[in-house]
Amino acid sequence: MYGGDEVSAIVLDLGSHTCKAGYAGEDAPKAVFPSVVGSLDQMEVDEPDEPEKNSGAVLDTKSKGKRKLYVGSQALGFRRDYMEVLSAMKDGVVKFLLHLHLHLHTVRVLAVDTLVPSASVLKKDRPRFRDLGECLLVDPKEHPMLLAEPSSNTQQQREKAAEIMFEKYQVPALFLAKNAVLTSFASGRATSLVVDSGGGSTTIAPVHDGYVLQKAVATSPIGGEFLTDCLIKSLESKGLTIKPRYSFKRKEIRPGEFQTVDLYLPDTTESYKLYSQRVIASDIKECVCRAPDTPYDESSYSNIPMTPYELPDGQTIEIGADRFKIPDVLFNPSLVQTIPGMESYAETASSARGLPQMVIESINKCDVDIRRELFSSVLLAGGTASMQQLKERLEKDLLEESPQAARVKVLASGNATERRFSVWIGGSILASLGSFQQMWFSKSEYEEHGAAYIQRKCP
Amino acid sequence: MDAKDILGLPKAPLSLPQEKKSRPPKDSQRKPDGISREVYALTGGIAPLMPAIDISQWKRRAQSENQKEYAFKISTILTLPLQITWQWLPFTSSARNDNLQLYHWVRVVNGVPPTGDYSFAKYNKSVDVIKYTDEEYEKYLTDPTWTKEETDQLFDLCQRFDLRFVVVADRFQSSRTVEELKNRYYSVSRALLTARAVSPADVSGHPFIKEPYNLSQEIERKRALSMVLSQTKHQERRDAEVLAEAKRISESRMAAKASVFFLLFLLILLILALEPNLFAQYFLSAFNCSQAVQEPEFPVTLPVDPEIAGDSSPPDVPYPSGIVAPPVAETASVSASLRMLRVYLRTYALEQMVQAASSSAGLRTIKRVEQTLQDLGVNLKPKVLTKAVCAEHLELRKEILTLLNLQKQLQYKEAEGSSYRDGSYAETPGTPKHSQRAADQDRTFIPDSISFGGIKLLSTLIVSTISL
Repeated sequence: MYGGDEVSAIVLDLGSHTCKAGYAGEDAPKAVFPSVVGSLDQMEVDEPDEPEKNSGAVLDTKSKGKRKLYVGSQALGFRRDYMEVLSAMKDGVVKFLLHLHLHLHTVRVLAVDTLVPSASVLKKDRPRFRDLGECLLVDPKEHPMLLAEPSSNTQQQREKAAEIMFEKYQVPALFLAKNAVLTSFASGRATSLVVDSGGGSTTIAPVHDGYVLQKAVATSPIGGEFLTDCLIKSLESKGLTIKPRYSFKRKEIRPGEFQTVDLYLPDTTESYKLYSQRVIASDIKECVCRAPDTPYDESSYSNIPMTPYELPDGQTIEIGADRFKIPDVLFNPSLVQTIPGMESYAETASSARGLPQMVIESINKCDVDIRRELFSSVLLAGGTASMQQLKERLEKDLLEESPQAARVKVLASGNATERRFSVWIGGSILASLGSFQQMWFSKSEYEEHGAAYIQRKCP
Repeated sequence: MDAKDILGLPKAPLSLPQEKKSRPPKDSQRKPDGISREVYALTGGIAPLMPAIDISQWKRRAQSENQKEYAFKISTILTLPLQITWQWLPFTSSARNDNLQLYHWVRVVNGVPPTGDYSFAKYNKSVDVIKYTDEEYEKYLTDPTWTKEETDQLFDLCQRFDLRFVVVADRFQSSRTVEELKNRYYSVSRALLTARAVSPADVSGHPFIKEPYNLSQEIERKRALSMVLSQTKHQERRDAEVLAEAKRISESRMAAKASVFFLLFLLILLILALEPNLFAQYFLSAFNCSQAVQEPEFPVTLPVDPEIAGDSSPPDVPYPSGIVAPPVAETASVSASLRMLRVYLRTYALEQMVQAASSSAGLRTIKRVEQTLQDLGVNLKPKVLTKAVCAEHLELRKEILTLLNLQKQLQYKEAEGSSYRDGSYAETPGTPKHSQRAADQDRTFIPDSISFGGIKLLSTLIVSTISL
């Protein structure tokens, strides 16, 4: 690589659904894990340490007693009594800063601290740095860090992030890059319109010459998890309940034949149950759902053939019109009202607009001269964007709404995993460029100018 | 290339010639140890281009684990002076203004790390944004629509974003358009340049001064562009529909005209083919003055006309002045040229025909014709151009022309006759000539009066039709 110069930087993309982390210069993140933590309040102060159970757990020292946090899909997959599942992200803001623990080929993540105090933590708790030196296999002091942040991050959050990284982890250098810019770089463009449809929300941000035009950014609360919830409610209204993985056991009574036995586990928390159900439902959504070619209406899709799907407990369910209805919520949020059980979300959904309308709105807020270029390079990114037929449907809708003079082109990498990790890949490219090495926000600069200097350094 | 680097070999095979010289005399005598003679013969019996590691040597050094030593040993075997290693070393970059030290892999030659600046530091380019002091601002740069803070912020952002005005407009606190920002920036820079310049000639070549930023033009251009780009598909479809409809209507009109024209043409041809007698009669009457006198009723309308008019009256009605049925009395060329035009004014047709008719005559004759017309009280160009009037006018002209031609001929004949008579009377020059002249005049006058009479009749009739 002629433009590349590896400094072994670490790229960290904390998304609302999954976190991605890895070394810069590689083409895929090594560590991908859900951005939720399982937290277990421990009543007894001194509990005997059991190495197997505590794998991946870290003691969170708060004054109110110890709380164990479990991070990682492995740790979360193991059911524990009274374990609450807390989302690490709230409204797109990082609540927990997950600490990377890179260990050769596998990654272990340690949740250490809260950035924005949530209601469950008392305000006067100061995050205390506990010596985790023995757990770390990678010293953050040696690696510059590139963090991917949401396109509409406030100044306060950025300063907080800088503070944590420099004070706590003593990184030598830091850079905060916006998600949209990284996606744009991953596809080799400096100017594009990025449609990032992730777990928690959908963000549409125009990027011009490597800078996000913040006045034209549009967000919508409809994301992958919203669609998953729609699916769960829709199935429940049809009488199909999804049994979480932990709540049954399958016994082999005869060779090849299994019988399901329900387990009675009263001490499991609601949040954990919901979390487990979501895991299964999102798998259904990824396998079965497709974006319809035309806007969804009940009558035309009433006679559609059903697709079978086998749940983990052996039950086979048939999914028909929901296959197309759920993805169409992205294009027509008012469809949510037709799904029974989702009335509570009706207000949020009614204020949101469909994807093509948001794209056109965003472009029209930009300067006239760059609109043509934005139309001809619309990039799709995010987990929800890897839904089948989404690209074609969006292109078709945009062609309808856009003016004749503009040539509309929606681009998405063919590989579904690349779409999911496009932000991380962009960060990997950026941090390994030779001409990027002058742009790091270093520790000495932080000490000299303070955290507010980050606004200058990371535009 | 990389393989050679790793092995520590030179980029070009410099040492080969030496090796080749030393090798062949040795090899011809004995084969190297470790491989059998036959196998060595397979290689051709000569050393390969890329000198392979000698196995005997390699076995001795197999214990060595240190990569550096290994490379060093290989280099000694092959008697090369270079040794290359890769090390993880810190570096600084002149593009940074602190002393951050990051680490990267560095190619170390002979234990000496490379010197010099970071190789990517040369790409650190930025735009030259003019800076001003407060006094300069007070003196030259104040503007009613811009405060000092805003101007300061503008220049700061321009410096940070390297004059990317779209991004500057996005990050600007108050909402100003890109054109306003550009205008302010360029006017300030221009004012500063002219203020700081020693003489006006120095800076006149500077692009800021040569081509000033035209705010109104930019605003207009952007407005037009936004109109083009904001037309939705519905509007465009409607526009396209309207245009298509208009096109259809205009095409149908043209088709109607063409069909009428075509019909007329066909009918004329038909009649020409079927009834040539009519035309022959008309031609004769037109060129015969006496017959014209005898027949007071003039072929006002062509015999074909009523038929054509009857056939094509409905489409004729909306286009009274448009289509002209070509007068048959006209020369074929003129009518052909008129037929090429689908629609033409009668005045134009009349002119063409007049020109055609008078093409045979000279300029003086044309003038005399016109003079005669005026004497008769007929306008040179008839005021009311209907078919009948045009035809009559043309006829009149022709008859006048014929009359003048005849008069001329008569004069010539008279002159000849008189010259003969003159020849007979040689002595008396005065009175007889006078009497002859009178006689001549009398003689010439008589035909005039006769012809005049006929023409006068024609002209009175025309005038009467016009008055009608």
